[in-house]
Amino acid sequence: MGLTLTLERKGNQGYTIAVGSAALPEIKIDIAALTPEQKANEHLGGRLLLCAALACFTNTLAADLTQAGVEFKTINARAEIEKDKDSALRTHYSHVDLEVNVDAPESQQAAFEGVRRGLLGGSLVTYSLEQGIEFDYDIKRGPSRPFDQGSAPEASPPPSPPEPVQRYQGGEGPLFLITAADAARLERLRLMAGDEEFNLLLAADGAYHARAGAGEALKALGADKVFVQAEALAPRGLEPSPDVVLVDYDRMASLILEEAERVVVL
Amino acid sequence: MGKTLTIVLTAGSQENQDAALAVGLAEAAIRRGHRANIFLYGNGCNLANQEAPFGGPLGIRQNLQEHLDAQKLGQRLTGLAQRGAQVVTCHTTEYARGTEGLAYLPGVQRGDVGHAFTDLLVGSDVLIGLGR
Repeated sequence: MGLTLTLERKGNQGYTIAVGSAALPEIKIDIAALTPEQKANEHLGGRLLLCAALACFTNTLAADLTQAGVEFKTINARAEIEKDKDSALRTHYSHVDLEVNVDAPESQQAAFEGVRRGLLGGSLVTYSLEQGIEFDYDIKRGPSRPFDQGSAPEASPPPSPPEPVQRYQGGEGPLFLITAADAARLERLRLMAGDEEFNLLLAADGAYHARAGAGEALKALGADKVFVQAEALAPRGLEPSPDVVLVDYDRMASLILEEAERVVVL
Repeated sequence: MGKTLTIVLTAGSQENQDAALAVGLAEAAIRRGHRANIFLYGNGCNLANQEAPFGGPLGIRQNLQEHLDAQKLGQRLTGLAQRGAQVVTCHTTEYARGTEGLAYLPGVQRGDVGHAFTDLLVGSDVLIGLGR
C-alpha cells in the first residue's frame, strides 16, 4: 500500500502538511518569524527525514521486543545525519548514525540479543533509505535516559565550510596493502592490478619490498604511489628506495579509511 | 562522523609485526575520529588472555626478555577497548588451542564467527585481514 501526503504553503509564512495519521493528523511549519540566519540553519528536510527514521525504527524495535517477550521500560534514540558531495559536486545526505538505548531486564538479554541482531538489517524506512544513504545502527540495552534534544534552530551552529577531500597526490584506484616479505605477494599484486591504476602500502615485513636495492622492481609494478611504514624500516636495518613515501600510523589510517576508494590486503 | 574499521587479526604478538600493526592502525583510526574493532581469530586469539606469570627463575637473558616484553600488546588492547573499540575473540579457535576458559584481558569479549564477527562485519565500512 502506498502513502500519499499533501502540503499547502502560503507565501513565505509557512506551510501545513496533512499527514493523514490518526496519531499525527498534520504538521504545521511556521517560518514567518524566522530571521534569514535561522532559515539558513533550519535543515528541516533533514530533520524530518530523521524523524521518519527514528519513528519507524523504534516502532519496529518495540514491536519486535514485545513479540520476543522482552519487557522493556524505555527506549531512547538519537539520529545524526551527515552530508557529502556526489560526483557532480551536489550536496546530499550520505550517512546516518542511529543510536538506540533500551531499558530492559538483564535476565532477558538472550531475547534482546535476538531482536537486536535482527534489527541490524534496519526497519522499513531505514533500509529503504539505505538504498541511497548509509545507516549505522547502535542498539544497546541498559539504563535509558532521554537524549539531549536536537538543537533548536536558534542554537544551530553556522554551517561549517566543507572539509577538503584528501586524495592521493598520485592517481586513483585501489590501495593494496602488503605486510609480508615474500616475492609472491608482488606477483599476486601484478596479476590483480592488471592495467588498473593503484597505490601500494608496504607495512611491517612488507617494508622489505621498499629497500633501496629493490627500487627498480618496485617501480616496474606501476603503482602511482608507494607508501611505506616508516617505523618498519629501522628495526630491519633498511634504507628506503628514494621514490617511496614514508608514512606513520596516522597517515596509514588516513590512507585506509579516508583516502582509498577500496583496500585490498595481499 | 567517522568510519568503522574492523581488523581480523590471525597472528599473535611474537610471530611477526602484524599484531602490532593491527593495534597501531586501530589506535590511529580512533585518534582520527573513527571507530575500530579487532577480531582475534586463529593464532590471534593468543592475544586475548591475561598473563599467567611464571613463579620460578625465567632462564631468559635480560635483553631478550626486554625484547619480548616490548612485543606484548595486552595493555594496548585493553586501552583500545576503553576507547570504544570492540576487541572480540573466536572461542572456537581458543578451544582448539586449549585456551578457552582462561581469563580475558579487561575489555576483551568472547565471541564467534557466526554471530560476533558477523555483527562486526555488517557494521564496518572497511574490513582488513592481517596475519599469516
